[in-house]
Amino acid sequence: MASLNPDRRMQIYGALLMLPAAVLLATFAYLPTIATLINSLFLPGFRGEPASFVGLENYALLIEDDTFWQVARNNLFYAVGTIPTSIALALGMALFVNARLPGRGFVRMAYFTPTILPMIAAANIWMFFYAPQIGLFNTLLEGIGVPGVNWLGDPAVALSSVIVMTVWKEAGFFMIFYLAALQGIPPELEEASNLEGTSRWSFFWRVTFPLLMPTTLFVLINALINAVRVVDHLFIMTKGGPNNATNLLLYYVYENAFSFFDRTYAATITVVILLVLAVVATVKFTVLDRRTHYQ
Amino acid sequence: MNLDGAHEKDSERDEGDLDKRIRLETVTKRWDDPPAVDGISFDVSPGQFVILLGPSGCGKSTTLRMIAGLEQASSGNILIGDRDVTWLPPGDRGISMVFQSYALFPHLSVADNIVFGLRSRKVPKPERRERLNLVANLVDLEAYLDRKPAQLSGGQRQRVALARAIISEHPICLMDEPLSNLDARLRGEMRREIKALQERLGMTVIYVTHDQVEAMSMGDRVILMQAGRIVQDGTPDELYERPASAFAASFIGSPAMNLVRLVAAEEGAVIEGEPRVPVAESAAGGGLLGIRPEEIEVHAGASGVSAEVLDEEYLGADTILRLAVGNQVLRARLPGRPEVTRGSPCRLSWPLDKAHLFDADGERRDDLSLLAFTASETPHGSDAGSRAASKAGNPPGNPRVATSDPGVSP
Repeated sequence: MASLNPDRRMQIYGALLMLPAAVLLATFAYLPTIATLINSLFLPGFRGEPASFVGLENYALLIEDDTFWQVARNNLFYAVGTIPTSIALALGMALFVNARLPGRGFVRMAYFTPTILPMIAAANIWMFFYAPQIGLFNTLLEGIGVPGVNWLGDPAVALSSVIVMTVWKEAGFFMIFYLAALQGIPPELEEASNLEGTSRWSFFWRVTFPLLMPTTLFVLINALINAVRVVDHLFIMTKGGPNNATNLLLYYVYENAFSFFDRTYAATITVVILLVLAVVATVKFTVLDRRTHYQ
Repeated sequence: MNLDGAHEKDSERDEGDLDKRIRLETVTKRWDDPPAVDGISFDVSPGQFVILLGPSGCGKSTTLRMIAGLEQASSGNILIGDRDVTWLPPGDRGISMVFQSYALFPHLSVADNIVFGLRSRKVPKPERRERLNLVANLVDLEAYLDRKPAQLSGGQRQRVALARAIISEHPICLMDEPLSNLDARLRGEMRREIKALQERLGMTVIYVTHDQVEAMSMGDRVILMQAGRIVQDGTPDELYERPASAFAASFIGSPAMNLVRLVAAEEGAVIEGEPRVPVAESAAGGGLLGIRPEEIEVHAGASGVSAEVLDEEYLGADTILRLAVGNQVLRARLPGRPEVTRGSPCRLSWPLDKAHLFDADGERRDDLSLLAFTASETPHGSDAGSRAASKAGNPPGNPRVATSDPGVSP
């Protein structure tokens, strides 16, 4: 050791500090990703035969798979349905509870409660809301003389029902980020703009919203990741049905891997998801980051 | 206010400068007891530079914010020009304001920051640009219009805040400790610039500060506040020359005015712990005697109050001596660097018209008179009895510069 110069020692020291995190990341993120990528190039071996290399055949299959495209479409619809709504709602709630308000702490807590609930519990609550005969929504509808809807059984409304639940669950979580960001905006900015007779609407769009852009970007990426990560509440509520109407990408991966035992096809879908996510995230960061003001 | 006098449609604002006048009538702000601002009244005439001075928590910022409309007065009326603006929102009062933190919009460029208010008031773009150029020229920001506030130095940010206040061409500008975030050198520079700008544009300015140097150097008039009330309202000279109370006396001047306790004795009031030399008539006993450090003469003469040098603080142009008189400590400011021996005896005297008497409550008492010093044989002579009482006027034979005393020499 004595022969090492101080620079070298510092480098080794630094590398050692990074080692635990690096080992964990490599074991549970990078290696599985590479394994998935390799897997997607094989067909599963049957009766003890080794898996056979087929190149891009799985990808060709994927392109012709109608169910995959339906699931992808569902997921796009799901993302478009949940992301802007939950972000807008989160921002609205944050602005509301950031103002002077009687019982502010209570309202904040109420907004945040859905986030604390485990997804499974939340899904079970909503099962009760959506239940066709005894459900809350249909009981209310019958009260005003409107025929009930089969919220989760009708292919035309099932996905929307799932979207509504997701928005309910996520908006409170995103609200916390907006609330923190709002409290970081100095109150003099609003006073200075009030002195010039700036309307609240104009102040929001010219000052508040631009200053919240870093938060919006962060929330946007999170919401996107959440949109393709949905498995648990589909388990409870619809199992992807009826007729794949609520089937989303990750659930489809799960089905292929563990219901149809087609691991390599599941790997192929996973690789596609990863690629799409990487592209979207890159675009977001390059396009939006340039317009975002960081303090 | 007109930046260049060229805007036709703005000239109608100048009707008799009426809209530059501010009047406060028993304005009170009460969050809980005691009130933050307690029934204060004053009038500001057009084009005046008025300082609201006081220690932190005295209500000066709250007063300013009530004039701006950022706080609602609990009672009383605020008038700008002939309008009662007590209940008007800030944007309708025709004022601009410079904040202590500058309140610049961090995501906007300097140019956008400056024209922010003009956009809110829907001023057409060509006029916006024209006024921006004028103002940027006025505060020397032309080279920085595209920068973000984070890329500017403290002084430049200060200028942006100023530019934003003056581009609105409002006749009244409120400033809330605008220089307190700057370093000492820049502060001196900006003091002059703000004052020059105010004179050039004819603005009415109300300027809040706790810094008596800013108050003395910038204000046409200083309103000194304490605990939500006005202690004294006058020109800087008046505050310096004739402080209305012991508080006012101690707040203005650096180092502050010496305030020594007086006790009544046989021949008049004497400084507590120094019974030999009466300094004022007996009725002043129990009150305070105030003398500015720069008015005290330290010498080896035969007349005056005997004192002992405790230590000295050399400041370059002058030196602050700490002197023990009786059981109290006085500061004296002497020019240059006098040679001083600690512990050496000397005598102090002061021009009678430069000494002030305050009663036990700190109120100024002009009805009480001071006594002149008369000669006594030695610095520590105890011949107080030979002193004659004479009222006012400079005592004779009282040279300002110390003489050949071994203890103090210039």
